[in-house]
Amino acid sequence: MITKYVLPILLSFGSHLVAQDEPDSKPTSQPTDTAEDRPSETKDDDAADAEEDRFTVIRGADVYTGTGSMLRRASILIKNDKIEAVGHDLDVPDGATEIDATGKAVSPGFVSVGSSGFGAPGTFRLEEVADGLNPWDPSIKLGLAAGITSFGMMANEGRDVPRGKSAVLKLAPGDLEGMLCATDTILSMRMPLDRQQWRKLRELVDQAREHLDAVAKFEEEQKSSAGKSEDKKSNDGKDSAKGGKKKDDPKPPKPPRGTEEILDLLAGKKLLWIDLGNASRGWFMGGPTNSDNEKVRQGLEVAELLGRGVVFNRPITGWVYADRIARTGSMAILEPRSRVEPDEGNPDITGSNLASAAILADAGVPVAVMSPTSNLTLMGLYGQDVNTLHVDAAYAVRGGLDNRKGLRTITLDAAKMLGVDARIGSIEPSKDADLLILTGDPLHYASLVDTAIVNGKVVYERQKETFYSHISR
Amino acid sequence: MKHLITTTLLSLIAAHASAQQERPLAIRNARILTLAGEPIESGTVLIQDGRIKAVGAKVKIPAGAEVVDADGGTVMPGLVSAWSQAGLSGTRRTAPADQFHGRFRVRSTRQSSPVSKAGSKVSDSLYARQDVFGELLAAGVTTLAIAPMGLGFPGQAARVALDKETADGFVLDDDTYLVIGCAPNSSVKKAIKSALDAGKKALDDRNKPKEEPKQPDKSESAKKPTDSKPSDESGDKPKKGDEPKPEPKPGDEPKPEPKPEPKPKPEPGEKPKPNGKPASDDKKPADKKPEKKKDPNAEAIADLLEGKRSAMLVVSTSQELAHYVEAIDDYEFAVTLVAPNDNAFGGSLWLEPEAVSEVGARILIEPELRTPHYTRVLHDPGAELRKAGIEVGYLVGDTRFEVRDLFYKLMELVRHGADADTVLRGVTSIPAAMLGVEKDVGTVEKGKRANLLLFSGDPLAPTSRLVTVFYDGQPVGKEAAR
Repeated sequence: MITKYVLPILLSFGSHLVAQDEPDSKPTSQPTDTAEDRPSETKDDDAADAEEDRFTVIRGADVYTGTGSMLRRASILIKNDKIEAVGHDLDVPDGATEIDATGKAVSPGFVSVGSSGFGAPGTFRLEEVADGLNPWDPSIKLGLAAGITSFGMMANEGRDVPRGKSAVLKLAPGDLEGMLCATDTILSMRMPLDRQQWRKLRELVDQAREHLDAVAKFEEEQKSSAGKSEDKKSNDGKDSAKGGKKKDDPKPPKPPRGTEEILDLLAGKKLLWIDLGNASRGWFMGGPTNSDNEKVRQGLEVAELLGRGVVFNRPITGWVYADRIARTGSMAILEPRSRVEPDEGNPDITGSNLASAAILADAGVPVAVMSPTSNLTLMGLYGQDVNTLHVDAAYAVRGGLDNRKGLRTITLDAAKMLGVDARIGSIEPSKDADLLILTGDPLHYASLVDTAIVNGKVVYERQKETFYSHISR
Repeated sequence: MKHLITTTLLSLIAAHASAQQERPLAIRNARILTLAGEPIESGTVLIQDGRIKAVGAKVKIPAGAEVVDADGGTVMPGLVSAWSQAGLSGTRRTAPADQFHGRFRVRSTRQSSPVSKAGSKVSDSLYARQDVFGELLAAGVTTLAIAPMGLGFPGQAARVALDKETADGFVLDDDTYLVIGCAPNSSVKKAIKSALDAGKKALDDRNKPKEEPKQPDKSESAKKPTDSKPSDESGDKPKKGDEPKPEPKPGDEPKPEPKPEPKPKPEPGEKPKPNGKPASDDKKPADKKPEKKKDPNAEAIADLLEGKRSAMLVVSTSQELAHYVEAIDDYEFAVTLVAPNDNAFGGSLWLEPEAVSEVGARILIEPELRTPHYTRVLHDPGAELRKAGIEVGYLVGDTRFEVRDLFYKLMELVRHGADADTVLRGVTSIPAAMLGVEKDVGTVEKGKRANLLLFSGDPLAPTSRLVTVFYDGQPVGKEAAR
């Protein structure tokens, strides 16, 4: 997206910059930053001249912001695809589209942390997810009827090393560009590891750390020998290594093979999901039979090894290790609806716990909630499972989770698990305008989505679609 | 864990058994879903001697009564499971080799070979000491009818007590209804037809003026059980408690009718083989003429044709229903339908309510939203059937996991526009009527057995917990908190 604008601009800005910055690189150095910002702003202004800013205001609803608070009878102002303001006395520009939601509730769009369908490419190879989207997939409307406005999906998951492609997609019917929220924010690996796999992982992490040290040293040297070529700063080591266009400069150290993902994790660019193998056994099969204590413990070791929090994907016994999970800065995705019986020999620390979400949240662990089966295929008995994400969140509340945090588990904290909480998941100024107008409390089972708004556009209206139009509520 | 539950159950039962007679129990400060009228927003249920003595907003609690404060929670009738296979294949304690089968629900009626043993009783193959009964009770099931599986006439269902650890008093009723299984398959259809023919013949014999002297044996499958049935239901203590009397052995005489008695039914543990040796051995010498002995299978079907006995017809698709209608020819008798496996490819029954109502006025279905073939729009099958005037009950589930999911599924139906009261009646009073025990259970009304569920809130809300199950007025246990 950016590159479309940046490239021509950079071209016009003198050859020394072009040689330096290949289109893919993230602007980190000062000159590039300003160079990019200024012209793209003018570009935006041009566009704004051509078509006016769209303003929409939703009035009179109880606004559940997704952060835990609720504003009674408040208004939300949307400018184009972003939320402009939330509150009681808003300056609404003339000509704004008015949506009267008196007596209704507004919530952030629900985030399904792991799904497929909804217009995502059917293939499991996600290399070019953007080029495989189907913005007219009929299941998009179904997902919107269920309140889902975005979801994460993964492919090529890692087994014994962090790996994988991922994407966060939005349910924006007909809007190819609007569907893509983020790509490659997540890596995953599966527990448990055997001793050999542990050795390999430790080696990789060591190599990555050594590489970082080497890069730091290299940059130090570059700085000390500065003066002759100021503009040719190598920013990241990795990027410039790939660029490889320099003729005379000493090359920064190359990352050792296989450590690229680890480097991303160490730099906090991506999140690591720890798959415990629980999701593969559906609740209708009686759920996972084994307790996953050992896997959770190993996952915690991975977090400690990396010095970074990880995301536990559907742990059963996560509640046993709540404090340690909190200490490592890790997060957890839970399935409060499915229950796993404890082992008879060791009932105190095995089996699921309805209070998992409450225990983890009390320890300070961000918790997201997911339905036991995550796809909306509608072919079989359980195809409707993801239809009621809010009910799954309500199960967490039943287990003792603070009512106000209940909604977070399927909005802001769910976005956190996908690494996109800066863009979606709550109703706050400057965030994406993805929200729902509901017939009542977002966590009540009988509440239905009346209107869904994605990227500032109304994309679903209950009365106009067949799914729930027959219900008067 | 299971041992823990059982021992807790045992001690609870033991503790309360002695106190049962005297002390009344009052559940106060509860929202009462009577399911026999409007809910009572804040009321009291008074229980004595296992029965509901009074229910209402202004019930006076007698001095000395044990008082349970519901704390604004909701009381509703216990669940009635009218068609279940619980405990049939999962005899974990008796047959360890079978335990893996016990983990999965067995609901396939796809066995190729039909059976014709309408006189046999599933109660003869039931084992009382199974965890599943206590687990179902703790999950909220207070009335349970266990039906034999199979095509043709696989036998008679039994209603069992859920709080028994021994065979004593376990079977409340061993001839609850006949089971009929149909499949689009010529041997099944032939078997159904010939069994009905045999039943008709027996009925004709019965109506002949000269009545044969009754067999001295207490064959349960003749007319007798139907007479004693009502008293069984109303009585707390069933008379026919001592279960496996091995006498109703059908087919001990090779009758002239073409009655297929195929051996190939591959479930050795499930049902007693109809032609058991001991029965024929000890009866043959007593009989003078083999013709005089009544065939219990034919007698059972004669009862059905006479309207003395009810039947449940297991058909999951309209295809199976159509073949059943053809198989029974012009015999007329009422059945309750059971559709455990909706299958769009065989034709969903709920899309053909007229065809259903021609066969029976009641149906048990899975409590699930469905999509008709080729669409993605969810429908409420129960609502479609009710529109055609059919009474709809729901299958409650055979394991505690399924029973837990039940409330979730019912919630989905209500979310989809169904009336909460109607949906809850589908798991209480309607299946109770299907079992013929509606005078005893199914609603919260004066005189009924005090089988009650106390929830912390709306039973359908995911935020509510099942706090206590009352079985005959006694708190029997709690759902495991985790």
